[in-house]
Amino acid sequence: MIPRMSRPRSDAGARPSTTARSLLLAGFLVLWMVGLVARLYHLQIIQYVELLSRAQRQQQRTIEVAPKRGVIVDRQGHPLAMSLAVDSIFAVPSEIPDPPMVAKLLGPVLGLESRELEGRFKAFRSFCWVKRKVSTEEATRVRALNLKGVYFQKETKRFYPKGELAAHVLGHVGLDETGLAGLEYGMDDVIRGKPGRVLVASDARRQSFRSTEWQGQAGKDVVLTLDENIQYIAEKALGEAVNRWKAAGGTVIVQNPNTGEILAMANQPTFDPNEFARSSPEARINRAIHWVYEPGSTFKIVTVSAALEEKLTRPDEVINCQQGSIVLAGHTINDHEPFGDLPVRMIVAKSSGVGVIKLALRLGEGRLYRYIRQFGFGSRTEAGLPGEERGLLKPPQFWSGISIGEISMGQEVGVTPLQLTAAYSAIANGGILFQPRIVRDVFRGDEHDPIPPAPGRRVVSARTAEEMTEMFAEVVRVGSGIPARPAGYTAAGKTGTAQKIDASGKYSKTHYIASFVGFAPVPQPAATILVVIDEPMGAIYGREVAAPVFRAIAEQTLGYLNVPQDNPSRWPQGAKSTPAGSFRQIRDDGAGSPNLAPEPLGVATSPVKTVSFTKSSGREIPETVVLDDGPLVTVPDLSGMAVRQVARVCQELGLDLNVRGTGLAVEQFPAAKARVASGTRLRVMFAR
Amino acid sequence: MATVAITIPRARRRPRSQPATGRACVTDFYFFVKRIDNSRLFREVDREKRRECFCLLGLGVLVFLFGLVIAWQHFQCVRYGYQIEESKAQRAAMEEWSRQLRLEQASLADPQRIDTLARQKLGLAPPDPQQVIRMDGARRGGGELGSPELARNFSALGGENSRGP
Repeated sequence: MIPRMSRPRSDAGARPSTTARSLLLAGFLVLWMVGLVARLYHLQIIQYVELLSRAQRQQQRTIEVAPKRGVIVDRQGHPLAMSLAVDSIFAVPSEIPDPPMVAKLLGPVLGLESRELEGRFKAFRSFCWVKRKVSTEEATRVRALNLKGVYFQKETKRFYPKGELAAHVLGHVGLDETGLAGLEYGMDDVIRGKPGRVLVASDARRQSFRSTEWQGQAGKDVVLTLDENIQYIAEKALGEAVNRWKAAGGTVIVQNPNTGEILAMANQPTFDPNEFARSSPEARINRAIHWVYEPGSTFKIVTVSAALEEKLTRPDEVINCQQGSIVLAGHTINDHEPFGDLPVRMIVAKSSGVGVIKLALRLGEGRLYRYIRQFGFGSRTEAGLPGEERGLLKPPQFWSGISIGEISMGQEVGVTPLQLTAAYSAIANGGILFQPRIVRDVFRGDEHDPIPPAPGRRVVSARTAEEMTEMFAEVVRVGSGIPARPAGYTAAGKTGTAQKIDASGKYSKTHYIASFVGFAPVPQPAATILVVIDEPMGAIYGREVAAPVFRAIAEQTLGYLNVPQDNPSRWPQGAKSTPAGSFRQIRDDGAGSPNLAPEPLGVATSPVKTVSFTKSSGREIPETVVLDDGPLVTVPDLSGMAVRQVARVCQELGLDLNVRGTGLAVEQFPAAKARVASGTRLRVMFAR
Repeated sequence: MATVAITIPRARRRPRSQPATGRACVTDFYFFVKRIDNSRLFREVDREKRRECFCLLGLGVLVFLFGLVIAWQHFQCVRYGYQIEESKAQRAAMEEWSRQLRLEQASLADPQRIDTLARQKLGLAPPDPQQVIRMDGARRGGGELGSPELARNFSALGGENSRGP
C-alpha cells in the first residue's frame, strides 16, 4: 500500500488569502468597468447632442463662399469689369491686449482715424470690421504688424480695368457686390451667381485636413456689343468737344445699323466706377437712355419719311417756304432763315421748318403720330439697359393747334438719344427698325446663351429709305452738315439745334442743344453715329458743335472697322491715280522713312512725317501709309449652317474659328463677303 | 527502469512526561523509487489541434494586419486630406493670381493708356484716312464696295433690307 501524499501545510494556509485578493481585484475591475460604461453612457447617450455640437464647433467650420461676379467683356473679349478676391481686416476686440495702441498702429497704415478705431474696439467685443476690401499694400503692411486680435477675411471686389471707359453702360456695384447702376444692376441676377458653402474640418492648429463643398453658382460672364476701341474713340471725341465748347454735357452713340448692336455709348460728364462714390450723381447719369430732350431738326426724319412713304410728296417737289414764316392756330412760327421755293430735298438740306410743317399738315395729326410711334418714339427701345426713358409724346387728342407744326420740327416732343439713333439706323439699313441691343451673349464656361438679335420691323419702304438717304447725303454734301463729312467716306445725316426750356418754362435764348445724327458710308452704312452736345458755349449750332465730332468719330471708326473708303474725291490726287504697285515700290524702296512698313489693319497710330510724294495745287500731301495683309479671303455666308459645316468651310479657307453656342449659325463676325487676311479669327454665334 | 528502496528511520520514543496515546508508532516506511526512462517514447502529434492552433495564429495575424491596414489607411487618409487641402489652397491662390494677371493685362491694354504712350513716348499720331491705302484691291476708284466687317442680322434681314435699285 502506498500512502497518500498530502500537500505541504504552508500551501494550504495561503489559499484563502489569494482568493480574497483575486476577488477584490475582480471586484475593483468590475466596478471600474461599470464606472467606465456609466461614464461612456453619460457622454455618448445623455450628453451626445451637446458634446457633438461642441466638437463640431471646435473642429468644423462652415464657410460661405461668396459667388464671384461674372466678367463683363466687350465684343472682342476684352474685360471691362471683373472681380478679384481681396483682404478685409476685422478685429476681435476682446482678444486685443491694448486697444489704444493697436488703433494707433492701424490708423496711419489704413488711412483711418485712430480714435474712431479705438471707439469701435470699445463698442464691440467679439467682432468689428477694421477696413473692408483693402489694397494689397495695406494688407501686407497690416500683416507685418502681426497684431493679436486682428484678422483677415477674403472678400471679392469689383474692378473696372479700363477706368472711365463705358462707365455708364457698365454701372457699378456697392460694398456688398450688388449692382447699383448700369448693366451691373440690370443683369445683377445673371452676373452675381449663387453662394456656395464649404464645411472644413480642422485640427488643433486650425489647419484644415478635410473639406466638403456645396458648390454655389458662379456668376455668368456677359459679352457686350460694345467695342472698347470704338468706345474710346467716341469718348475721346466727345470729351474734347465738351471741353472745347465748355458744354454742360453730351452723349455719343455708335450703332451698327444692320443689326441694331450698340458699338459705343459715351457720355459726358463721366465717372470712374472704381471710385463711383467720389463722383456727382449727375456724372453717373447715362444720358443716352435717361436724357429726354427736344431733338429739333434731327426729328424731321419722321415727318419727311412719312410724307414720302404716304406718297404725299417727292424729293424734287418744290414747296413754297413763305420766306420763313407760317401761321398756325394764330401763332406765327419763324424759320431760322427766310427761304422761298425749295425742293423737298433742299428743305431737308437747308433744314427749313416751314417746309416741314407744310408736309406735316399734308399728313395730318393721326398719320404723323402713327409714324412717330412706328419709328420707336414714345416707347422704350428695350436695349437691355435699366431705367430707360420712353420719352415724351402726347397722343393727338391732347395736341394743341400748333402741335402738329411744333412736333414735325422736333419740338413739343421728347426723345432719348438712343431712340433717335435707332430711327436713323432704320433709314440707313433700308427701312427696318431694329431693337438696339447692348448684350450679345451670356455664358458660364462652355454653356452659352447667345442673345440673338430681335427681328426688325419695317417702318418705311426701301425706296423711301433710299430717298431719305439721298436727302441726308445732300445735307452733308451741300447743306448744313458739311463739317460732318469724313475724309475718304461718304456720309449722310442731319444737324439739329434745339432751344432748351429754362426755369420759367419758356424756350431759352441762351441754352441750346446741338446735335448731329448720321451714318456712313452712304452706299452700305457701317455705323450710325449720334452726337448731342448740351449747352455749348460760344457756338450753338449742330453744324459747328456736333458735326465735327461726327466726322472725327466716323473717320476713325470706319478705318478701325476696315470699311473701304468710298469717296475718291477726298483722296489726294496722286493716291487716286497711282497704281498699287507704285505704292508698294515706295514702301520697298523705303522712300523717305521706315514708316511705310506694313502695319496691321485697323492700326490707330502711325508715325506721320510730312514727306511729299506728290504735290497737288501746291499743298503738301502727307506721307501715305500702305497697308498690306497679304492674300485676302472672302468670308462666306454661314447663316443656317451647323457647327461641323462651318468648321469645314473655315478649315478650307484657312480661317480661325471661334464657336459660341449650339445649333445653327445665326450671326457671324466679320460679316459675309468681308475680305479678311488668312488666319483671321471668325466668330460665329449659334442658336437653336 | 530501476527500483530504489529507501528506509525511513523509526519514530523516536515518547518522553515519559507525555501521556500515552493508546497506540504505538513503530512502523517503518519504505518508499520505492522507480526510475522510468521515457526517452525512447515519441509524443504523438495531434494534427487537428495543431491545425486549430495554426488557424488561430493565422487569424490573429490577419486581424493584426487588418488593424494595421486600417490604421495605416486612416493615417494616410488624414495625410492626404492635408495634402488635398494644401493643393486646393494652392489652386485657389493660382486662380486668383491668374485673375490678377488678367486684370493687370486689361489695365495695361487700356486704349487711353496706349494712346497716351503712343503719342507722348513714341511720337505717333493717327494717320489721315487719305494716307491709308489698302493693297487688297477691295476698293479702288470705281470698284465695287466691299461690305463692312460687321455682323449682320440674318434672321431679321432675310434679304429684306437689301437696298433697292
